[in-house]
Amino acid sequence: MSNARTLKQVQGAIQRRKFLRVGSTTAVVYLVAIIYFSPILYMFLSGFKTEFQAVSPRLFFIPTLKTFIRVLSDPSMWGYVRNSVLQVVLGTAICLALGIPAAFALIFGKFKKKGTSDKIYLWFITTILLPPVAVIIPLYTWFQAFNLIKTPFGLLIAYIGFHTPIVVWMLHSFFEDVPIEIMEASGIDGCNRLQQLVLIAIPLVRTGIVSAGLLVAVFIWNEFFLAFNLTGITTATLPVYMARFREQQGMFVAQLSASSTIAVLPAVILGWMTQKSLVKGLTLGAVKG
Amino acid sequence: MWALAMCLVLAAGSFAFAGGSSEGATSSGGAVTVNMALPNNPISQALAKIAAEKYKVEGVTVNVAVLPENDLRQRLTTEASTGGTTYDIFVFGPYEAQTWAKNGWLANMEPYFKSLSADRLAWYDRADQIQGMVQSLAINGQSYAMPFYGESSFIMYNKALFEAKGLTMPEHPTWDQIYDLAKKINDPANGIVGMTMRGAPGWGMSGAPFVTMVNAFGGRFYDMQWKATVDTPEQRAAWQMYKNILRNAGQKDILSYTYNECIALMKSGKCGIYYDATSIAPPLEASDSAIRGKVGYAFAPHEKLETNTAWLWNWAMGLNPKSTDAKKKAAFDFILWSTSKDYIKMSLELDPSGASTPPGSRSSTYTLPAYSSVPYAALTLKTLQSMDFTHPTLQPVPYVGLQYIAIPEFADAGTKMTQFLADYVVDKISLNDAIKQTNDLFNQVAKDGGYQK
Amino acid sequence: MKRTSHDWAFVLPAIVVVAVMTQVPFILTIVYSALRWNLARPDMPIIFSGLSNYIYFLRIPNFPELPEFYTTLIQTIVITISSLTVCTVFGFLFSVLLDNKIPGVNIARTLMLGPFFVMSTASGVIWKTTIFNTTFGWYGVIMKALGFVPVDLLSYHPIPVIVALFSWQWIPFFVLVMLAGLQGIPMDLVDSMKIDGTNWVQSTFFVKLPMIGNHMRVAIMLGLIFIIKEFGLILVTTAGGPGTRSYTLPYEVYMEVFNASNVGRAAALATMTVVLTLLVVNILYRSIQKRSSAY
Repeated sequence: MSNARTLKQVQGAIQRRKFLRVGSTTAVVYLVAIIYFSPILYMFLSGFKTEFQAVSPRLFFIPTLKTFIRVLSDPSMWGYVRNSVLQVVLGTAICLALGIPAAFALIFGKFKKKGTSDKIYLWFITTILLPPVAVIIPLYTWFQAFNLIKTPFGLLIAYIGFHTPIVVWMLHSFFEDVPIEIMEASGIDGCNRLQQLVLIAIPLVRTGIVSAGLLVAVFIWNEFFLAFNLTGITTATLPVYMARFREQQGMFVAQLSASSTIAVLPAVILGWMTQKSLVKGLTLGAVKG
Repeated sequence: MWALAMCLVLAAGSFAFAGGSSEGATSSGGAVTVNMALPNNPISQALAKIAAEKYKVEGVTVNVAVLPENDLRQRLTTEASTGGTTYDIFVFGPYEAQTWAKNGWLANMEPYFKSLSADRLAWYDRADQIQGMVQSLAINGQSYAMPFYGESSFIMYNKALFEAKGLTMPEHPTWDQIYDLAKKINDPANGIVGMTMRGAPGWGMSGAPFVTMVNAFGGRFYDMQWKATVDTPEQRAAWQMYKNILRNAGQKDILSYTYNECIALMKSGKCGIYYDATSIAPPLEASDSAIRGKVGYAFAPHEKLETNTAWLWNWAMGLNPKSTDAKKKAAFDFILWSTSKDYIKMSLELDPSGASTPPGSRSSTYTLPAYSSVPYAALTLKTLQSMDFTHPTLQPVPYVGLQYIAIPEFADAGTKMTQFLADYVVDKISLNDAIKQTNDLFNQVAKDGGYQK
Repeated sequence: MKRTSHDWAFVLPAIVVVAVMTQVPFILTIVYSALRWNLARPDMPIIFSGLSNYIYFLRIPNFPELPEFYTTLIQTIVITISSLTVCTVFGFLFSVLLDNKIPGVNIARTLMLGPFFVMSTASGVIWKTTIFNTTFGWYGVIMKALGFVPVDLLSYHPIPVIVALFSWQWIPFFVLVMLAGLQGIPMDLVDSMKIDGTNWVQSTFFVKLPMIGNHMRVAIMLGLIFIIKEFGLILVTTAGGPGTRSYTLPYEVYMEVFNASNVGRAAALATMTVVLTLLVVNILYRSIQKRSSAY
């Protein structure tokens, strides 16, 4: 019997080692991911408990739909959901409607002075730096004076003002990637600027639009500071509603969990479904920028 | 994909314009909408519930939001001072009432009373309201708000725990006696807390019991020349007592305890003594409380100052002068409804234990059979009748207010003071530092506010 | 091609809305900062007071005792830099972990991304109620089971708690960006390193890390901007407390307006916050530029 192993044995050993390595890596990765997300997983779970079951931490219980039904049949909850949906849908749509042409014009437009488009682009970027705290005082006084706290359109305009620069910033690099020859060719063919934008440019930067739109949607859905200070009873959004739970009488943990789940799920699902395009948009738009 | 986007936009747009209810909307039609916000204490939450079920007036919708107390105060103060119209009914206490009325941020209610029919006036019975409360909300006899419920403060204790240790609570305890008893009951090994008090900072939160302690120890915040007098032996004694109780016999998560957490702890039967508002007794006697029927009551502790060491507070409702006339009328009607004898009866129907009934607003409440048999009623009434918020301290002071100082700057200064207190309680700063910073702060406030000449 | 006027029409609406909602109010804030204006004292008229609001915050009457403004400033800097550091380090480690061809890595990545999409007030309330609570939360229960006495972290160690929560929320973002960078590294480089026998530490920290420098820069800059702005998380967990121990500049501005009703002082504070943000972003930008140019 020789000490040298056969080829098969060596191959087998390598396979086993590889399997162990992949297996252990997989286990570690999953463990880390699950532990990282566990507070939210626990929150989802607790929505299916009764208040009694939810008081102390426990993983095993008999689930019930009672709490969710209670939360969902509360008309005030729907008010907040409605307000959040309104802000996100209209806000994202208008931000895109304003930001896409702006980014387009900044890349392909011809302005009288050279360097104007760079200056304007830089100006947009610096507004992203602005903390909302710096403008809340005048905004609050304006809103009071013009009665905007009671309508959702006040907050909507604020959101548009704060989030359009993000659209401009992300799409700037996407538009940069469109070859200028295409624009020039279409110009010679007789397209005006608007046609260039709608028929040629927009289809080419579809991914960018999707990722910018998604990022803005998530940001608006989750935005708290402006919503907290610039809304009233009928216009408050979900993040404001969630903040009220911080001084809860007794501990209505099951109700809190169910309400949180409803508040949080749309953004999380949206983010998950679109993570690939989000990455593309962020990194392409970001790394170049 | 564009079609989908367009559909979403249109859907959202129509969603917005379609009425749709918001919080606690009552009745239909909604020709006039009245907006109000309430603090998240048990009695106000009961109002939100009862109003949703029982307040039905043709063409009027009432929207009620229940907010954490700090949020409520901040929001309403800023709204009142900027002349906003987000809320039509303001809910506040005597601290705000006096300054807001003087500044024209509350509508005078007398014209509204004059426009009532004789029957309605008789039904409402203004004479039945506890006069001390009404006066704290009036200027020169003209009412600017109606008291929803009033409170003072006293000691609540767990009779079962006291019996188990063979201890008795004196009817008029001193703070030293309370501390002693708390230490004796405190049993962390068995999860028993000796005494719980509000620990969360905020002038209306931990500030309330704390300032009455300062008064009880003979301290004051300003002398008659508006010089700050925080750095005095009397004040220091109060600061130390507050810390000693909480650290040596108090709840574990000291600083996160608002009255809600204290109530929950007391209800669970795991705490011996609780010093807080008289309006907190009802939840302790409610059906879901483990100590129902076993709660004892004693007067607010005194020390150097022997009487008037509790506090005086009410939650009142006033009209936003900037609302439209139609809204003000509807709001006035709602205010009458929620501060009426009928409402008191409704709340007893909802909860016979009295936990949802507004106390301290009407004398007739205490004659109702269901309510007068309640264990805390007698002591509550005695305490309420003995409070004098114009003479809060042992030595003369240029301000009024028992658990606060009735100047607008106190909302901020008092909160900062409780923040220094919190730091001191958890050993982040020394007593000397806390006292010095508070003293400097109050001097600065007196100077900036033009009080100190 | 006479298109210049048309081109302005494309940009103008965006410029107008953004300017009216962000720049114009900021100019007003600067104006307000020069006024003595207390909303709660209508008997004290609004007068021009120059720099007195700024002096109120900045002056140091008894050195070495620092007034509240400086404490808040230091706390803001500590929270921001700690969060950024934790996010960068763990963001990188987690992205390396996820850059593995194992079955279902997408699911793991999806789970890890989740917290970024959860609104900060909801996650703050959930952490405070179900985890950090010393009686009813997982932290309390686990500590007791291990024989320790659970300390009320929110009251005794508010800043580490806030840094932990900020990081938990933003690490997924860092992972997202850095992972994209790692996955952009060409396969032949990875393979050739394997053949050369480079060990894992060398290949990860000395080869891959420098290559995603651009991505790291983007993640840090964006993370910095958003972490400085954060308000909701602090409000629902520690409310700036205990006392003012976990105040940040934005939180103090909020309290100065809505609690103290002092518009003038709040505006001064807000202006200083913006100036500081710009300064820090500038410094960070330049230092990262220097570092990446070294590669």
